[in-house]
Amino acid sequence: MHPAAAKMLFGDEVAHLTPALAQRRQWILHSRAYPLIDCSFLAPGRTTMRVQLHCDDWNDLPPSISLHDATGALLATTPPNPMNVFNSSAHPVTGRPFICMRGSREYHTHSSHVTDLWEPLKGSSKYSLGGILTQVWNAWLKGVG
Amino acid sequence: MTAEQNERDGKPGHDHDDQFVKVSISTTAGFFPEEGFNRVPVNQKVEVELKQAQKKLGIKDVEGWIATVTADGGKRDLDVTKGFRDNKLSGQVEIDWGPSEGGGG
Repeated sequence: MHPAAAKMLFGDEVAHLTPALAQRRQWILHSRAYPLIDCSFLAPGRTTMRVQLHCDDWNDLPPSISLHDATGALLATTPPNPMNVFNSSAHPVTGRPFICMRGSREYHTHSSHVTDLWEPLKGSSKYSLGGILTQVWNAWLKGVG
Repeated sequence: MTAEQNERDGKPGHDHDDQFVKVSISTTAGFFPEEGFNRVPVNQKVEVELKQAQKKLGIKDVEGWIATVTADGGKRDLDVTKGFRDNKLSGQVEIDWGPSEGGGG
């Protein structure tokens, strides 16, 4: 993807990640400036989790998703969660806990999933940037801590 | 202006208010309606309003999407094949709609 085209596509998709949506979902949108979406998830009784979607080469590549605490520091482990989306083991490429879910670059580059390709997923509503962020958020909401 | 148009615009008609809910749907493709709420009969299936939102917001596919409301500090999934009343919804209803959590590996 040409960088200008990736930036344009990114801009089109994040245009709807508005303050009104953030307010309703109890998100804090720290940034949605290409190529980064930086968003904190808040909920009563929960420790805030912050995720950063690094969207270089969107959408030829899915976003690389890193996990942070409220201050922006990288997490060394993931909060308790019944979903397998949050994987506390070291990713073979990043060496850090990661999002093990279709639509995450870390999923598609993990040795266990390299045959599960991004190509047929991209372009669908579920795997838009907002769709991926929503999936991660819904997984986080299922957890505790 | 017809009664139906009044309902879409959220304007009160002559019907009893408890027969209607005011509905706003939020997605990462936008809000439906764009601002405010639509006035919808309480017995109308939730999916009817969602289909209108999908069309208006240009959402290509909604497979695996869930509609939720926030209640008692948490989110509650709706049965979209049932009406608003059957989902124990009344008054002003803010629905969040989007893909459910993806499967991990």
